[in-house]
Amino acid sequence: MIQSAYDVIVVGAGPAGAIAARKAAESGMDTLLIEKRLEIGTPVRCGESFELHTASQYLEDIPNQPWVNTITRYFSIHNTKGDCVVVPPISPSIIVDRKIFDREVAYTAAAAGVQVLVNTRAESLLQDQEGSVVGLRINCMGTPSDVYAKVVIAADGTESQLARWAGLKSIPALSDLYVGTQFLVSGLLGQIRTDTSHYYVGEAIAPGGYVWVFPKSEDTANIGIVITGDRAEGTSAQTHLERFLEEVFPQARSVLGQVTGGIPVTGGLKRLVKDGFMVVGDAAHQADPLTAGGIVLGMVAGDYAGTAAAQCVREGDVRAQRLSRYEKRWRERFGKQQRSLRTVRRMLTKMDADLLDGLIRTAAGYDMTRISPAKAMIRMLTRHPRLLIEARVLINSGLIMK
Amino acid sequence: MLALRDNRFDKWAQLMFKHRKSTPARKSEALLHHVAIDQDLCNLCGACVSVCPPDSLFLYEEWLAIDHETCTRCERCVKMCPVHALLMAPGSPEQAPS
Repeated sequence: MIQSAYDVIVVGAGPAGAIAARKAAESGMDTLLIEKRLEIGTPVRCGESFELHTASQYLEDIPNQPWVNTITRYFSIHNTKGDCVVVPPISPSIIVDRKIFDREVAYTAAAAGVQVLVNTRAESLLQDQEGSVVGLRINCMGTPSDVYAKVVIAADGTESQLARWAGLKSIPALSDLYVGTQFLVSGLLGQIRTDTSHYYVGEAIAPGGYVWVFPKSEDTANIGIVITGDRAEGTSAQTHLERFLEEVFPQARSVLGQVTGGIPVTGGLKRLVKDGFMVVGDAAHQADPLTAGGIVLGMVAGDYAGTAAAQCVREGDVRAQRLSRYEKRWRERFGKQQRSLRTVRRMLTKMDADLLDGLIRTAAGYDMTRISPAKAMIRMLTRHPRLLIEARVLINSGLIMK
Repeated sequence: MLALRDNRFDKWAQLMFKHRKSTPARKSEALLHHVAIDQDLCNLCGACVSVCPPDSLFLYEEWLAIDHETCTRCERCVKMCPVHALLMAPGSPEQAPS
């Protein structure tokens, strides 16, 4: 079933890995996509919401797909005092069923000519004397074998072993790590609208993070929490979430599913490539450093990596220097954004709780569909001059000037 | 006199190494503790694996394992576990198998 050599092997069949494999196969590469789990998409480890516009580049006719649960047209941001500001996003988001979605993306890879195999675990990297990656030792459905590849792409998620074996992985600081958990709850009929996603911020609700409510239907929603790793010691993320549910949605008594996980939000690894090796998605810490959303960013990274891998294989040179065109392209598009969002998160986690509550209270008085974010910002500054001191890091990092 | 000096050194060492987990003084102490995993609470999310500096945690299909030999007792995994399934237990791991 398995060949002894491929052009490209991708490890991990999440959205990032599947798109990387698909792009490589579309460029004519002989590609293998392996997944250690018995089934692609399970267990889900995600809030299941992502931005529609960018995702539409990779999947056709998204809003009508069966795996789309709801479409979010409004973000509603709440503070701890019960005020809320409704913000229309630049592009709508969708809330999906990741179990079906992941398999669907993997299927598009298979349809493009990728060989997809589940229950196949990467045991170790095969490296030559100079340390270049030349293949993988894998365990395919219980049978170990050595498989050679010109390029290995690691898309094996937050607990990535491959990036570590290759020497690219850095351990995130606890302040650069979100830990979280999510419940799929029911009994919300009349409490939520399917076109609105809610975010709750504040030290009392989620220290250094936020709580989200993503409606899956009129009655059910994904309600989850992330907090920063260095604030998780006393009270666990799960306890924070249970408290939140009791307070805000006491009628939601059934939990139909739970998801737990940690997301590195460093803004990206320092190096994304080495000789014959690339790393994409959560394994490369590519999730949004503010919201920790990583599906779309992972798919874009997969696209760039798969395309670059194919180019390099065709040119017959897979040294890091050539593969780094993926890294370069990624940084050109997202480097600045990732750094800025990380700065914003750090500012928000340090911000005084009263100021944050006050800001949202003030913003709740504006009609955000009518006034531009810049105008709202200026009005907020006049109401809360303290913001200027808190936000100086943003000016320094050039986010506001942009 | 000597006793006084030693005492001072202790204080100095405490100040100097306050922020470090494995000071020379605390290393032997650290061996008296180990990370215990509550497999019933653990959701196998792998968050701890991603923060483990010596790579001592291993996530399998249905359980989480720890290599006590390489574990440095830095407690990062214990601190950040979203469901508090990891905890510092007294004694060496042989005395209290997890």
